[in-house]
Amino acid sequence: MPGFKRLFRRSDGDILRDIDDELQCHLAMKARDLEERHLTEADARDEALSRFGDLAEIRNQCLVLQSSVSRRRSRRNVLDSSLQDLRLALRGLRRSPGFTTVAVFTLALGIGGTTAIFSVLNSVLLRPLPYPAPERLVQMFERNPERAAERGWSSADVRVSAHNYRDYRELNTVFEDMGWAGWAGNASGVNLTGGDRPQRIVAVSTSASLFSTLGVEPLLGRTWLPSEDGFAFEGPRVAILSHGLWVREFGADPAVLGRTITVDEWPHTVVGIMPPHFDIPPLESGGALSTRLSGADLYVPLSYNAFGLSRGARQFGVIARLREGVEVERAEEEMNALSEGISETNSDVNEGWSVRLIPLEDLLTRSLGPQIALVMAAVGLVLLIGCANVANLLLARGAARSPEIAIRAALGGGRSRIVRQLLTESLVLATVAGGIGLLLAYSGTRVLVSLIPAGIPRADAANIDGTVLVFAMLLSLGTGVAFGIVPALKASRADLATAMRGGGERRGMGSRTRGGMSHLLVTGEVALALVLLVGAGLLTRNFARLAGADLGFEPENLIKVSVDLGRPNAYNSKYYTCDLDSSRPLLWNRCPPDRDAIARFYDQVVERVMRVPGVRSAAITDLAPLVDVRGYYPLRIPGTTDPTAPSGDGSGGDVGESEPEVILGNTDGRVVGLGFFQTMGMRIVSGRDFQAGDPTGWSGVAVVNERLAARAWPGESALGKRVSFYGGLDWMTVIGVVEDSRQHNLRERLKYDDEILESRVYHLGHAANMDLMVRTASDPNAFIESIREAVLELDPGLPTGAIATVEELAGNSNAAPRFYALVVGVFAGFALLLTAVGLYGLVSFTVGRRTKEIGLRMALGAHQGDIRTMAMGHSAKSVGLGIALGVAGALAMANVLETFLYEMDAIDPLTYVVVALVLAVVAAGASYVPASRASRMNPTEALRYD
Amino acid sequence: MTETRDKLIPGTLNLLILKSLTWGPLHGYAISKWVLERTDEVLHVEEGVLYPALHRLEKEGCLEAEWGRNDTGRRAKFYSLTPAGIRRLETETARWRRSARAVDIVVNLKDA
Repeated sequence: MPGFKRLFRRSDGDILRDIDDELQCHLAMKARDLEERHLTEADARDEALSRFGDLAEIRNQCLVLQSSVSRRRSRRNVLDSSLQDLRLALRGLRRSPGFTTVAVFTLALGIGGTTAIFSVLNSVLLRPLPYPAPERLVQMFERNPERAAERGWSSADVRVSAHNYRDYRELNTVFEDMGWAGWAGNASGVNLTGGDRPQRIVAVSTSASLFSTLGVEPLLGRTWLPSEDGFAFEGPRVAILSHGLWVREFGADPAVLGRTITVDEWPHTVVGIMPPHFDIPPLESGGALSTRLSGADLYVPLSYNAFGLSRGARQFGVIARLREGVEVERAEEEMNALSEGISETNSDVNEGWSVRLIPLEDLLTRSLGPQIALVMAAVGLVLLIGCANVANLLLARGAARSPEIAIRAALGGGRSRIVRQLLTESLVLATVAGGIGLLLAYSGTRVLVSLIPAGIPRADAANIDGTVLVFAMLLSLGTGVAFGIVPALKASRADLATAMRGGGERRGMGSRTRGGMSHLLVTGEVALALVLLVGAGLLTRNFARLAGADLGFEPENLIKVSVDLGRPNAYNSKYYTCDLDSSRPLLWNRCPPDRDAIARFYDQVVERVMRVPGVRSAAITDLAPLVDVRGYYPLRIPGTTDPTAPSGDGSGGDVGESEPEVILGNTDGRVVGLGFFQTMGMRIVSGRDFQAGDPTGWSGVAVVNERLAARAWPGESALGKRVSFYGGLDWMTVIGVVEDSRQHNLRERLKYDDEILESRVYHLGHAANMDLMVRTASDPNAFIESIREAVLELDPGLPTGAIATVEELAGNSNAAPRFYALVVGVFAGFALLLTAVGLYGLVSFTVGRRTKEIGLRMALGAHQGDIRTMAMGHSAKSVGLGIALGVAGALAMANVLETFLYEMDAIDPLTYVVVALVLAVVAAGASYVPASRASRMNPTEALRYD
Repeated sequence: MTETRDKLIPGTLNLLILKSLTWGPLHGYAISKWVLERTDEVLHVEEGVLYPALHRLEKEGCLEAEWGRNDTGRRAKFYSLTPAGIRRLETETARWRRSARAVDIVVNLKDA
């Protein structure tokens, strides 16, 4: 009978309604019959009801029978019983909205946070590199551990020289192809003019083979022709636009192909446009530098002859694509064999060098893994604490429902059946939480992306894609099982007799073990929260120290103005020594600046800017403090027997003794102008400052800082000593010692010891690309425009370089530590809150369960204080244990955190003590509230409580 | 009132229900009323056992149920016999006869 089948395919709710209808119908008819026997209507109904017996019981039995009818009838539909569980679960959750809300939001917070972080991780690390067969792409490095140790490089792997690249490319049998990329101009970009307004954009020069190696075709147009490609480029200048620049500046107009744009004053013909989201891989520069080649707006061929450089000039980021089936190790072997062959004829520049190939995928993970792992771990801990909280709620709920569950079990529900149903409830909770979490993640990802410090490639592309959705789904399900399984198993073990005796949750045997489990969960929560709080505490103190650190100069009211003359071209030729013909490309490395001309120019700039009202002083330097790049020179200190070294004037030591020459690796060299120390607010400790008339360049006089003086001449005066930059033959005489300062960007400082990194030599001089430091009388932001105008007044065609206050630069430098401190801090706050909520719940529950006992104690004369102590004492043990475990856990994780701490030891006793105290106080507060409520109970009411 | 009524003899409930339905589909109340009337108000089927029994028989496939309207137009669940139910009625009837006869023999024994 089809109607019949339809009936039993109905939902559980419908079944229950049917049963109610049937029973109601019975009652109604019976009442009517009784009424006919002259009973009043109300009496009749009462009579009918009283004769009926236990309506609820009958209803329950029928439900069980009917459910199995339904199940049996539709056995073909495997999902059916699960659907039935689902409906029961939904109904159960609807019935206790308080529980559901708390549980869902606790979980949504954890799932949402984890998903948001994961979406960044997915974008940065997991989403395959956007090239075909990315697993075959490797970056090639040349490697020289000895040289690295000698010079203090952060990595022994450096980039590849043009000569070696050409040889490797011609001779190898393991690569399909190789290509290279390097900055065009410098990391601060090039000037693009010819559009609506002049732009500072990022340009990268590449080989044509880079595109084919990556396996990417331009969206429109072409890449370099053989005549435009390569190191000995002689053809007309051409450029390829990134999709972003094309849309932003040229309105995505395809007619831009063939048009001429001006890059650093040189006309370039646009020949191609790359597809959306194309970027060259974030190649590591290795060695002493740490810039990455990605995020370019414009691609150009190399504009100079790289073979004019030495074979030892290793400055090209090289990507190679392995032939199918070739292992990285085998390719590396072959490359090393080739390298040895090169060394035979070029031992001076290739001896000691080998080749290293690192898969691009590993490169990404290696450099970004720890950061993302840190944030992921933080949010993961919050999720775990959330799970523990919800598990505790479920345990309490399970205890309260034990009579109901016991009946189901007694009526043949079967233990696995009941576990499954309770688990379904958990999964429903987790799924709903997952849905809300996904919404949180959607907005959270955007916030996160806006906060992420620069230098994490593709972080801005983070979004909720399929992978993230699957992750969130699995996470929700995993979470549901994680917090649901123990309470479900526990509840299903409910003993009918105990449960039915009423108030099983207050007196039952099961409740004691339940209490133990709850305390265990709270202990775990406290421990996890402590680990997070310690992490947050350390990171925050670390950031505070960084932000409050004495830089050794005064960053307030200080402006940095880049005054970049640019690469030689038709316009700025007056600053260069060579004759320029704009129709022919320029080999700029053969065109040094005209020293007198640029000295005159920068003198004028300083003089002009000083005249701006409110400017106190101004001076040039080749590198402003706290920017991304670092100046690097190994320093030579002559031995006393060195014939080329004239002995110092008086204090240079005895000529009779034979002291070997010393080379100090990794010294910072800065070219400065007159008045630099005064402008920066740095004190001369001994000797004198530079003066007008002092010789400039590498053969003049130098001022060293205290660190360098201590390193080079421990226990002696530095004054009058001689130093030379490595490779240079000219000696400079030290005329003064200046106080130490901290001028390096944090990224650099991560890799080096300050003692070495910040030991510095200053000398007078000029370069074509100087930064002007300006000290102002008041808020430096107010001066930016007038200073810009002052510079332009001198040379209206100069690119108006980046102007920034030094406080801004300091902020940028500290952006990453601030970010990690903020993120971990926020999650630690959540952890603390959740733990407090968990503890509050636990104590309330324990107290509730012992109401009668408390009433009895009070009746027997216990004081409020005794009751409070008793109620809190139990949880205090869990908290204490949790704190102990947490401290152990945090200590175990100290070496992970170490990576992120520049100013602190990861085992910082003060942080540990403060965090433990905070946690203890919050825990005491969270348990005090319900405990004191219990102590104020009226004993008579408490005794009656059931 | 209840003193005049007897408790059901265990094992007879299913028989009574099945028997009541041989005249056609009935709802639960009609079944209890039928039993009461046909036994001259001696046997009273309590709701507490009737409905679970009905649902169990339904589960075992002896009864089929269909929703209809009672004489006042109320939604009511009507039960009817399935072929399995008819077979069950036969075996239950045979068993009842056997045991009733056996009990009868014992009851009719003259005092020794």
